[in-house]
Parts: sequence; structure tokens; C-alpha cells
Amino acid sequence: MTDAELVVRTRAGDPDAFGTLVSRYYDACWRFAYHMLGERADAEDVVQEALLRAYLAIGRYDERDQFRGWLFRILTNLCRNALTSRSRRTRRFVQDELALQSAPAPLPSWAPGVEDAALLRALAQLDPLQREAVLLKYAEGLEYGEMAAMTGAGESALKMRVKRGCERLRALLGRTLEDAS
Amino acid sequence: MADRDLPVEPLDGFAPDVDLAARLRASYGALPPADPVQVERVTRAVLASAMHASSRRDGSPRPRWWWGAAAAALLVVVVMRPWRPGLSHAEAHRAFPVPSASDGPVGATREERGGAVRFDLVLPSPAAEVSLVGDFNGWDDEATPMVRRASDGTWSARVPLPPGRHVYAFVVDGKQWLIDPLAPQVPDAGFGPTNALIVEGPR
Amino acid sequence: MTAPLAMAWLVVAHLAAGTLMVEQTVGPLPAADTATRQPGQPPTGRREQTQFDATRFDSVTANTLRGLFEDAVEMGLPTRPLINRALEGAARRMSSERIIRVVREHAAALSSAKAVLGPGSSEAELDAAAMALRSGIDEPSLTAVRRSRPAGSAVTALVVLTDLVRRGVPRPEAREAVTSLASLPRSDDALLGLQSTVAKNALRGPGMALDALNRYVRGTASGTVTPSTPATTDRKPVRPPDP
Repeated sequence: MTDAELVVRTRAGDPDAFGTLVSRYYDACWRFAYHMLGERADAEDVVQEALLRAYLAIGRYDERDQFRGWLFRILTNLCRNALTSRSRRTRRFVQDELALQSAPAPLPSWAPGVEDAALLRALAQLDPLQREAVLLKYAEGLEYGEMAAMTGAGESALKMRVKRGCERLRALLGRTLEDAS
Repeated sequence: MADRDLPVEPLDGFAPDVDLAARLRASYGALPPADPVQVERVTRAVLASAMHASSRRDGSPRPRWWWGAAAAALLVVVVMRPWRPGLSHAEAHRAFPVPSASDGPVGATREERGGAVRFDLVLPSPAAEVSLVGDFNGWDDEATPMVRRASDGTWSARVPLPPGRHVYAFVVDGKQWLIDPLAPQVPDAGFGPTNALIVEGPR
Repeated sequence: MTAPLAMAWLVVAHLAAGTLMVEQTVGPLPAADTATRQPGQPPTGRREQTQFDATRFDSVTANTLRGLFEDAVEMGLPTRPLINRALEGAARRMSSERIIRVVREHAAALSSAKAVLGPGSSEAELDAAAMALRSGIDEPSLTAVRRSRPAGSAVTALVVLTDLVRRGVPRPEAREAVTSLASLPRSDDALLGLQSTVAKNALRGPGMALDALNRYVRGTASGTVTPSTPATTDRKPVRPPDP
């Protein structure tokens, strides 16, 4: 059953349909939220809130849109809010300098199947908009056009965020494009 | 645009980082998939919350789903069948007791420039007055009344505090003592638990 | 019989700035707190100015408490933590018997804490250690914390250790995590970050506190601080805009 059909059924009051949508997208939402927020509990909270808002707003969803994109728009908004609220209140660390000074060289390389703690730490040190852009581009595999529609930012701004975000990640992770191959 | 296929020519002078992309995707893949019980639990939580949505005031704290999660998990195991649309409102509430306004308080502390600490407190239900009490004011509930912010109902107080450990709690309406559940706690030593705050700096 | 001890009279001053500054550092010299000393009051030979508002107790209780404070002084224990417990008890409208019992027990805990942590420990360390002991943390754990931090700087470690155990982290793992983080640079931030993440995750179910602790400690094992886990935490619920 397609997402659009499930949405129609959800609107008709069929909770099984909504349950199927959740099971389709929960993982994707949670992985994004976890990479954005860095905390499992926060990620779960945000995903649940996003699903709730999606459910409440299901009447406004246009079936011509991609459901995943629509859902992610809600999710990215909530992640941003969570981070803004968090950063307003917390003591600032000298993030990048500290990390660069104390980053061991080289960090152990990631192994498939094991959570990449170094990457998550590095992501956490990015500006939230850069982090979001890098994740949407590389982890979610979106086109810049899709990202622009989702975030409301212009494509060139998004490209710049991805570029800067990648540069910073590379610096934090101690690797360069040249080392990649 | 063609930048989905890798490797590709640079876009606006910026070569996509193949290796970083692969690493990000691998990080995604390395996370375990959510187990179906969790997904079912979340679905039920959302549906139950939605039922209460119209009665939630704007600005009230979100329901903390995990309080009901244990009950829901039990229910899912015992009654493993899909939700029927005909389920009555009352039964839904019993089946998944999503707490709304009866949750505990949510607090935050923030060090500000100049040596003051701001204490914030969100209460699940309205209060007439809230005081901050602690070692720094002799546990006097008239010394540091908190002020309620009109926009969202948060109670706040600012206290100059030197570096070090400070023990505190909140008093609601002159009689109910509360602590911030997530801040460091000082266990009950005969009076009830309190919170501990560490203010940074040379001591 | 007057004893050379702090019998400072309290002025609960509602200062315009809302300040009630109490000299917190404990050093060899008496710490003069001129804001609260009354004219004519003899300078104390004790270390810290304490503020015992006897008016909040009936005279019998006040006298009993003063006796306990004198005993503490003679045992070389700081009196301010005891006075604070008495004031807290009064604020909570506890019975006199209960207040006296708690103050006695706290004095005993302070005494044990001092024996374990050693004479160079600060008042805040003793107070935090006393609470740790009263919450069931054993003396070897306190010794391990003492060894991990120079004198006077173990307060955060003690506070965090107490909190972790309270959240359900088993004592050996809590002790191990705290002592290893305590030896890092910017250990306070790392320790408070650990406390924050364990507190949040403990709500998710049994075993989640320990799980979060392990993940956090592993994440900081390479020596980098985790800046995304703030020391001053924001736990206010967020109200996001409508989609």
C-alpha cells in the first residue's frame, strides 16, 4: 500500500494505517534525530512529537507531496527547536578549538556495525544548520531542491552549509578528502 | 541534478565528500532498527495523545510518554491486537495512560555573567506562588520568591551564587516541596530529597 | 559556658540585590563576612561565619542544637552544614525531634566523611561526602574519589556519584565511571554531562541508566570532552511551531 493510500485511510479513522506509516518511517526519523541531537532520549521525544504533529495535521497533508519529505519537514523543525532551546541555556564550550587541540591523531577508524561515536561527537560540534544540511544531503541522500523545499533555505545557502559542515567534520575527524582514497 | 551518483564532477567548485557521505550512511546503518514493540508503543502513544490534544492548553508541557510506556508495553504483550476504531475514549485512556498535566516539574539552571544563577521551573499545574529555598538563603521561603513569566508560565529566580556546591529545592504555595527530577539530587536524609547545583569557578 | 564558637546571630536580610553572601571558602584564616556580622559581636575564632537563626526554633530545641554545634566544633567538624540542615528542617515544619535526629546523624556522617577523605578536605567536600555515605555509598568508593582529585576539588565527583547511584547505576560501575572522568581535564564538565545523560535516560526504563553511563564514558574515553552534553542543563520542554 502506498503512503498516499495509508494517509487516506488514516484520515478515515483507520489507526492500523497510521501504525503502518509509523513503522515505515520510525527508523529513518529516529536515526536523523539521533544524529542531530546526540541523545537517545531526546531523539525519541522529538520523533514521537513529530509523529503526533503529523497525525494531528494529517488533514493538511497533500498527497502529491512525498510523505517522507512532509514528515521530515516537521521533524527537522522540531530538532532545530530542541537545539535552539538547548543552546540558549547552556554554558558555551570552546568547541572546535578544544576538540582540535585534544583530538588524538589518528582516531580509530569506524567499523561497520559499531556505532560511530567519533562521528557523532564531531557532528555535535557543528553549527546546527550545517549539521542538518550535511545529514539531509549525505545521510538522507536528498537533492538540494528537496532540501530547499523542506527547510525553506535557498539552494546556494544549503550548498554552503554542506560545504562548511563537511570541512569542519573533516578537520574534526582528522581526515582529508585526499586521504579518503 | 546529477550529484546523487558518486563520484561526480564538482558542483559549484565543491566536490562532494565521498568518504564522509559513506561514513554518515554507515553510521545510520550501524544504529539498530527500532524494535516492533517500541514502534507499536509509539503509535499507541501518538493516538492516545491525539485524543487528548484538544484539551491541551498551548504551552503546557508535552506528555511524557515513557510514564505510560511500561503500562503500554505490558498491554502490547498481553493484548497483541490492533486498535479498533470503536474503542471508546475511556478505554483508550485506560489502555494507555498517557500522563498529561500530572507530570512532575521540569527545572533548569543557567549560570549568567556576573556570578548569578538563574533557576527556572515549569510546573505541571498552576500555582499561586513558588519560592526557591536553599543553603544560600537559610531555607527561608520568603527570601527568594520566584516570578512567573507571563508568556509560558515558567517560574524564574536569579540568585548570586559563589562557586561551589549549593543545595536547594522549591516550595509551591507555601507548602509543597518539589525538586527538579533531572538535576543532581541529594538523597533524602530525613527531610526529603533536594537538588544540588555546582557553580563553576575557583573555590 | 561560652565556647569560642560561632554563635552568630542571623540577620535574614532581604537585600535589594537579593544577595545573601556567605563566605564559602574554608581556609586557615577566619573568613569575615561583614555583611552579616553584628556590631559588638566578638570576632570568632572559627573558620566560617554561620548563621543560626534561633528564632525559628523553640528555646529548648535551639539549645539542643547549639549543643550539637558545639560538639561538632570540638570534633573539628564544620558547623555550617549542620546549621543548614536545622534550618531546612525548620522550613519544612519538621518536628523538633526529627530535626535534632537529622542533625545528629549528619554530624556523624560528617565525622565519617572527614575520617575517610582526610583533614585537607573542604567543607563542601565533607558535606557532599556525608550525603554520599548516608545514601549508601561505601567508604572505599569515597577513598577512590579522594584519590582521583586534589584536595578541595572532589565536590562535583561526589555529587555526581551520589546522583548516579540514586538513579539506579550499580555502585561499582558508578564509582569506576566517576573516578575515570575525574582524572580528565575539565572533569567537572564531563562529570556533570554524565549526570545529565544518565538522569534523562534512567527514565526510559530499567538498565537504561547504566547503558547511558557506559555509552557516555566510552565516548569520552579518548580524552575529548563531549560539548553536546552541557554541564548546565536545559530540560525545559520545547513547544515547536506547528508544521
